[in-house]
Amino acid sequence: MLAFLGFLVLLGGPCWEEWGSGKRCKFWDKHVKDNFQNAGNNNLSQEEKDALAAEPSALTSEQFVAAAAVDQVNDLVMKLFHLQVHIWESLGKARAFLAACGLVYPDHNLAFPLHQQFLAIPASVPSPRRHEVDPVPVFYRFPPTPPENPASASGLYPVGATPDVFLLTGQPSISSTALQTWRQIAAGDFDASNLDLDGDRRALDSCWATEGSIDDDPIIAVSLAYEDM
Amino acid sequence: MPPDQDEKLNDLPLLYIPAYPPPALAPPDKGDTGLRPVAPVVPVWASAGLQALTAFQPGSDLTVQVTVGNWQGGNSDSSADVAVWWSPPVSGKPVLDPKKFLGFSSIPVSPHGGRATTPPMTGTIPSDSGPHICLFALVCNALDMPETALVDPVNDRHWAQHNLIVVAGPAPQPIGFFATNASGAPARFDLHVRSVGQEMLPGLAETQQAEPVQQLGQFRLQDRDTGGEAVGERSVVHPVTLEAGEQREMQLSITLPDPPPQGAFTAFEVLQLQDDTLVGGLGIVVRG
Repeated sequence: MLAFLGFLVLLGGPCWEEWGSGKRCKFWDKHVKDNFQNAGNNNLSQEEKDALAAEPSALTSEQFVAAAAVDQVNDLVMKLFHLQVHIWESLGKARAFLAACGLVYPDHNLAFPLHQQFLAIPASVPSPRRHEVDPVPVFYRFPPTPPENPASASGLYPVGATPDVFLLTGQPSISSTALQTWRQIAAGDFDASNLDLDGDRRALDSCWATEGSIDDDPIIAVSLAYEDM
Repeated sequence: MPPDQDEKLNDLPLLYIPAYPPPALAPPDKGDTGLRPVAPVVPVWASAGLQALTAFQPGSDLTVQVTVGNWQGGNSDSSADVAVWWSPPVSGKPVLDPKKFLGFSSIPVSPHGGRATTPPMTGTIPSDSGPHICLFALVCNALDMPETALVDPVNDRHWAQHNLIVVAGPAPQPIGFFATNASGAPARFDLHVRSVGQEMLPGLAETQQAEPVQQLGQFRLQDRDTGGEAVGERSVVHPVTLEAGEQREMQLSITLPDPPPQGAFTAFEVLQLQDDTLVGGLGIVVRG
């Protein structure tokens, strides 16, 4: 199969002699047409083996004009075009995969929903939401369930703010967070508050656990220290 | 929503050419969903995605462009291969002639309902083309091809047609067209001639840049081969039996009691049905 793909990439290989005289190529009909269904057939005749081994010679312009009228040449051009399109699409999918994995910057894909959701703070909605009965099949969307009681306040940054908001204008900013951390280090005040991101209920909230059940209404939350983990 | 729930979650191209106007029940802000057949209020003979950029003139160049959409999932563009042909006016499915090929273009289209428009494509219409032609466009990708070889703008999202004839009233020149049978077996069809429904007129007004008025016409539909004819007001139904691959020449005369006012138009359509199922159609706009 690879040999015939190679044959295709070499623009027709032994067929050019017949195409150049305006004739259809038997080799093409036997091995290439019908979407390469017979490409794995290795029973080549001696004539075909000789043709494959022969050194190609350059076509004259008259031969090229004659070849252009052969339908197999149109087929060859179409196959090469589709090959080029498949390579282009494959590279695009590979870049999208690498960007989704965080291995390359997604600059070319920012308009797609996967990346667009991270480009601006979305409209404020009460959260967290009560858990869904069967969350696995619907993991990709925001849960439509009612908010827990008590619901959290809105986020720290304005709706529509871009990811650089915490660098300069937003509160807390990167400098205020750094200063607070530095002050704690200077004072030897380590692990004063557990802000584990996976466990908090809202921005800057501490890590917590329920006193009763997660299904209670209202939910009674107890803040956890580091030693509780 | 894309046409099929299973197709929504994959990363294969799902291309279509938008119909005109968008179906009334399209999801908000989504326009044409690519579902075929389109909602009944949409004229199948006037696709919004297939646009003529220059006026048709026999013996001159005609420039067209095609807008395509893509309901693919994922996060990468796909290539859309777009080809356009012209044809004599037909009421059914045409059998396209390679000599009537107008142009080809390959463009990238974004997923999730993204749209893209081809560069202008120009071809020469021969001087013996007749006073009217229609256009057919195909969009495809090697991974998203039409299911059959038939040209089927009514049922297949890959195909679109612009099959609209514009004439002047009140007694415009007779309009010639072909009733066609693109299938491999003889078949019986019904040709319906009628006024275009009120609900379609706003969309046509946009393309015609004119005020729509609804008028009753008197129709005379003649079969040029057998000499048979059907005459009527409001609407005409004419049965025709066609051999496999046959194109039967028909002629339609429309007479209006009064011409549409200056700057206004009225519209009629010829629909070809097989067992009450729409096969194709063409539109006729009469301008004042």
